[in-house]
Amino acid sequence: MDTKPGGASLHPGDENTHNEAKTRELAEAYVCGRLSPADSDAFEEHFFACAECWDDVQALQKFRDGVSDAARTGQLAAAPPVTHWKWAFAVAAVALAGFASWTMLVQIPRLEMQLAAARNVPVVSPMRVEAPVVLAQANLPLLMLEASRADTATALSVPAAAKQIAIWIDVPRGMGPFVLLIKDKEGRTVETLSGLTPNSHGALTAAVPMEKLAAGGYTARLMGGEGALAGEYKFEIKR
Amino acid sequence: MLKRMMTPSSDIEEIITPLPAEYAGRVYYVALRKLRSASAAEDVRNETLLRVIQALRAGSLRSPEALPAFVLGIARNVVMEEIRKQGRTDEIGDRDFAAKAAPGLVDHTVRRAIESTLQRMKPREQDVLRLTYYEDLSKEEISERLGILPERVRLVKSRALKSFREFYWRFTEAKKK
Repeated sequence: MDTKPGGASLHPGDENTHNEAKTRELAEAYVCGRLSPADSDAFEEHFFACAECWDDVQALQKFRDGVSDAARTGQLAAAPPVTHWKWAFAVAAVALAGFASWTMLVQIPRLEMQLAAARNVPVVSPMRVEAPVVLAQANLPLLMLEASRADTATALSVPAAAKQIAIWIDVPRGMGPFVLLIKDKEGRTVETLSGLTPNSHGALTAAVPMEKLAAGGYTARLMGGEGALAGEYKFEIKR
Repeated sequence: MLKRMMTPSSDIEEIITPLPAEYAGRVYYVALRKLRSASAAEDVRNETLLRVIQALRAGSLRSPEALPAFVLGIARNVVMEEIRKQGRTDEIGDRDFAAKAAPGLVDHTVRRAIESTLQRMKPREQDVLRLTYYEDLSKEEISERLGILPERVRLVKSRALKSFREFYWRFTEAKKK
């Protein structure tokens, strides 16, 4: 608040003076002792002639006394160290922003790369030349086939937008290359993937275009290097 | 009324009668700020009103519009005399203490109204009141300290004062019944 409006401007009874007193909160400044001696004298001359400002002065004095009394008696708790809160908030905000940035820029891409690598390593390997390349695709449906004596099919729900699926088959180390035949319910071969070799995780991975896999049941026959049956797996595609 | 006051007549006592109600509070308040003594302020109030009435009867007031400044001028003279009587030599302008009421001297109705007002306020808004009226910080200082806009500080004070006035009026009226 400007507490130096100029004593000469505070002529008692002047309408402009009254407006000035209101707008500049002179009454509060006067009550709290924040006016210069000259302005204080001028304001006294004003409220001796102005009932409204005298009413304000009385109310503000009571209010100030009451608030001070409440502060002294503990009814009005001490103000918290807001500056510290501000700093704590700022530090927390910076830390959060840093963590979010690290997650977005480092961690997620790294995990995506690891996932993509897990899917792609054998495919892009120089040893794998005949099977189609599994493209890095965040939402690539993954069909994990396991040999089972039970006549149960592994179901895979494939989104309509998916153009291919990845097949993952665990095989004993040191074997291969393999050939994977995928047959439909009628026994027709819909896809043949040859030259499959285990990746560093000891698994075969391959991509199969969805244009060859309509919804329905299939049998995957895995053939060893000399044409011996290494495994047979049933699966079902759901769209 | 003031025009008639300028005319010495039998109405003069009728004109003087409302003067204490109009100015006694103002004179007492100003005197209390300068002297910081309730009894001294009462003396100043009584002496001032007495001199004003004598001056009016003597026809010393040059115009009706000058009455407020006339009363204040006499009050200041009486305050100065009181200060000299106490053996103090400081200027009257340096003696504007704007002191807070001493503990225990706050009116019970004020206390109740403050309590009711505070109950309606959030902790952050209460901080604004404390910093303004207890720690005597400026609006800008409070704004910086609490991290809120100066306009928000002004608004909080304005609303709190309005609420206080309403409660104070309500409790005062209830006491009358």
